Amino acid sequence: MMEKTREKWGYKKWGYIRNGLVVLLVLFVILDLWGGRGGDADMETLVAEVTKAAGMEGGRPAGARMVKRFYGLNPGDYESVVLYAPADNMDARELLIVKLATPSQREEVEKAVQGRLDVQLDSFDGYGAEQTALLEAHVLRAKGDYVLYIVHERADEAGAAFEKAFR
Amino acid sequence: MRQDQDVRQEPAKRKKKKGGRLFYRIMAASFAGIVLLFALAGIVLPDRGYSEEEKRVLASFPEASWDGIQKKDYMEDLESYVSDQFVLRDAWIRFKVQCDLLVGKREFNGIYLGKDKYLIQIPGEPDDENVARNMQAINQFAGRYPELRVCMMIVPNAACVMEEYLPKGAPVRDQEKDVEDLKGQLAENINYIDVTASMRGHVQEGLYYKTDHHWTSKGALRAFEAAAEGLGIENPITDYEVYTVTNDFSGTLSSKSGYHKVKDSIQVYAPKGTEVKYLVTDSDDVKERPTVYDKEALNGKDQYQVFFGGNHALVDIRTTNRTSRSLLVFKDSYANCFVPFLLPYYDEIIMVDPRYYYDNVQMLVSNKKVTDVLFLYNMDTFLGDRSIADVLAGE
Amino acid sequence: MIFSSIFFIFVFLPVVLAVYYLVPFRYQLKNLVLLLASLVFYAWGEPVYVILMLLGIGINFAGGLEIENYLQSGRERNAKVACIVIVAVDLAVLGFYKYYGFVLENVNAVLPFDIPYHELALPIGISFYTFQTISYIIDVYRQKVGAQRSFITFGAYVCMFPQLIAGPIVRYSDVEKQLAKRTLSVEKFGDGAMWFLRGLGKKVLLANTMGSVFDAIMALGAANTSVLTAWIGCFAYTMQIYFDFGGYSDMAVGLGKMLGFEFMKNFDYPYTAKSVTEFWRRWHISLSSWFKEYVYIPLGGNRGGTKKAVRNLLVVWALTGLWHGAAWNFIFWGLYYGIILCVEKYILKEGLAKLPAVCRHVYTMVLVMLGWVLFSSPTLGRALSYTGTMFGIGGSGVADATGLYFLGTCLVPGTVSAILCAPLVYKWIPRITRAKEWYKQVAGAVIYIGIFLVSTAYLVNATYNPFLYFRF
Repeated sequence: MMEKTREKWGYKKWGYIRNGLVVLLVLFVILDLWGGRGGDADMETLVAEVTKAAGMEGGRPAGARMVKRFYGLNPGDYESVVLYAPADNMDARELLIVKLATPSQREEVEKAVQGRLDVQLDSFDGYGAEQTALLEAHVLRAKGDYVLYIVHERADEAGAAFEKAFR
Repeated sequence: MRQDQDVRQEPAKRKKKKGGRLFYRIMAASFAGIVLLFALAGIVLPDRGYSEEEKRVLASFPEASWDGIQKKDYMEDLESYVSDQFVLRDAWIRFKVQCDLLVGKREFNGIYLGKDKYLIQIPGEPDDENVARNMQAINQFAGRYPELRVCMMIVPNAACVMEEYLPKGAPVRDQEKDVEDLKGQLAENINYIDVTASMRGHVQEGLYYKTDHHWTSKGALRAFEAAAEGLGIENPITDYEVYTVTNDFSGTLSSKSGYHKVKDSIQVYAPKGTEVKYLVTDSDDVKERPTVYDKEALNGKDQYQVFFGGNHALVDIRTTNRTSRSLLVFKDSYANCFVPFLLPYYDEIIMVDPRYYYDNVQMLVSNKKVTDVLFLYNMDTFLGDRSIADVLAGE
Repeated sequence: MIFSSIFFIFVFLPVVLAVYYLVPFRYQLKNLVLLLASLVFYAWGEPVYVILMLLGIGINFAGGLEIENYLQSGRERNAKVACIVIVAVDLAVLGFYKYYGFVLENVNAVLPFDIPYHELALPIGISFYTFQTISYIIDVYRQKVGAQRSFITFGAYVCMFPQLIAGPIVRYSDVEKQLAKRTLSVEKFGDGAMWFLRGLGKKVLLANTMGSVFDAIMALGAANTSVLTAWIGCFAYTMQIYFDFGGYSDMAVGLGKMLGFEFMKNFDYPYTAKSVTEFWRRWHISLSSWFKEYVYIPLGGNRGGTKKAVRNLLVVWALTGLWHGAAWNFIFWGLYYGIILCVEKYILKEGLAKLPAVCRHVYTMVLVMLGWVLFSSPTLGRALSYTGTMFGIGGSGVADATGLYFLGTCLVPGTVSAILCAPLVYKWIPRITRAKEWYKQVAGAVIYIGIFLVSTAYLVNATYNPFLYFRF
């Protein structure tokens, strides 16, 4: 009987299971490390997908001057910048997509976005409750060479479309 | 007696277990009871949209999505939702503030509770580089128009003027030093109007709101009296008709701190002894109207907006005056209750809020034949501003 | 998810407890509920890394059975190899996710070129659950326990939500029997509720309050900090970390009881210690005993002469420091204590016991508080400058208005905290809760309900709810 039990729960079997799981573990870690580098996408498709998801198609992108005004960023420093500015000073909806020229620029762009967010939150503080809620629900994502910042009722869908566009 | 002794000889455990049973049962029942009560109440009661007391939109039930779950956004949103929609939320917050007060706490979310129930906002830390950039732009602007009279009035906040009202020893930024810094960075041809000292002299009159970060109309009046000379106004009116437009004003500081024990009243000052009339238009509403006050705002969420209906990129006031003086004001919301005091002295007053103004300032100056320029801000906002330099540069 | 949140207390907990109590013990259903609830709990904070934890559970589960089978069939060497391999895998995962960035950062500082690296997020609780699985594997190898035959029960052991995120580090041998059989009762539930509320109050009312005082003082900058302010700040942190971590552990014990488990205490009034050695017998007990059992003793402990013992102590303490975080200040903090412990053990020895109790207590508390400065500072430089201001170097005088303001602000919470550091109040509690008179018991319950209500009020308003021992 003892023999049978030993056969049934053979050490070899558990050894194989254990090894198999370790292999899976290693795979997981590798995927985790490499997952950060997404595929690639181009600016036009990205803008199209994101604006479609947010329902912003047909909006007019703002010029370089606005990018500088709002974010303190010089569009010439980057590969490409697209900005959809708020329609008027009661509007908080905004979309910014930056294609970085070098990966190290990511931090400064994110910082600039944070600054813009703070300014906007400040300016709507106290009386713009809906705008404040929209701003707080903003989406800020970075993937590959792109940075996305969007303040919109459908910011989440736009963020998901952004992620999807990379496959 | 012997019976007792026997009992005592038995393992102590049994005696311990005997006592306290009621306690544990009450604990179990009340803990479970309270948790279930609020959990079920939360499910049954409808969600709230907007919170009057907190002046913000409350979170609604989030939509699930793979992306949201993976990025943890969904979890965060769900937690905010549960917290925001918690039954009797407002009452809980008030209760908490009350407990804090009992324990001696005097600071709530960046706001001090001072004497006389004054809520005083803690001024933020500025970005010195930014300030320097703004000052440089202002200097350059003044340099471009040497024929204009350029003045700068940066009003210190309650934390500075009402120092004695702060909780004892509470650390705040020294805004007087900030004033000196600014003066030091200013070009020669710009006149800096420092109202700190004179405002300090009138503190008891209520120069700032107790529940809001703005100054009161009284505060603006006292500042005006001190500033008139610097602005080149020779015989300022001293007699005013005072109207109280509301006694029910609960401002931003109340919402942010959760302290709702006091309400403010808003006054409007009409100068006596002048027949000047005016027409107002602004960038958001081009219809001309004969008043700078927006009655609708008194029914809205922020009653301070009774002045000009809030902040607009551009406000244009044309008066019946013939003084051949035209004033351009670069401002923040503090100017909204100050500018009404200036109406009798200029033909036209143009107010520009650099945060929203995207047009060309040069063209504005020449088209409107501006003769005077005033930079009017409160210190905290001015030190944090990021738009002045860009607007003045224009393009 | 953290215990001190509206969501946990009013959504997660009622649902889980309701299902748990309804489900019978048979077929390990209760353990299954516990496992599933814990996975949801973990996934809430780590939706991706929950897979990592599941793989870890699987590997250690299979490994335990593997080792036991080797041992039963006499294959000692295979068992040893398997044990080493599995522990190595566990440590490798922990080491990788926790220290990879730190290691590369330091390597880059030395090398002429930079090795690029991708910052990895630290999976929550990995330091805790890894140590639990390691203790299991080693105990199976030592034949202290039998391997767990059920994946469900083993999984429940590893990721049980009361102690998953912040301990105590529960050794398998301590709960083995309870996993198979535990009792539930109304009294036990009430006892659990009491512990939970005690911890909740400590965390929300004391720790967070002290925490905001500490943060406000840190924001002043060294130049504006007088000696008084600096000491208040240090005191605030000392209180914060104890009530934060201790409170969380209390909540864990309480939740365990509600689920039928009896966990061991993780804190035993550490701030009443009269020597640093005693302090570490009272602070984070599960961690220091883990290191003693699985590192110190295998290394030889204090057999083999003083030199070896000192070496062993320093190694253990450097590792203890390192366990707390991937940064130099943590390692130095560990060594700081290692050195003091060696001094107490080999130099001061009985000399220390001859001093009056008050002196010993002050001596211990000063060292502990200075230790916390080191622990809490983001850089060594900051630690040194803060310590400097505590002794009048580089600050703004001995006492100033700001110092008095903070004194006023934290007078009440500080005094309450200090009193609650000692067993005094806790000894009264059973006198009330276990008294024969019914009204005393009711009064006790009312006090705890009061704590519950006040804590809830603070939680509702919580934008600020940090947990210091969180990212471990």
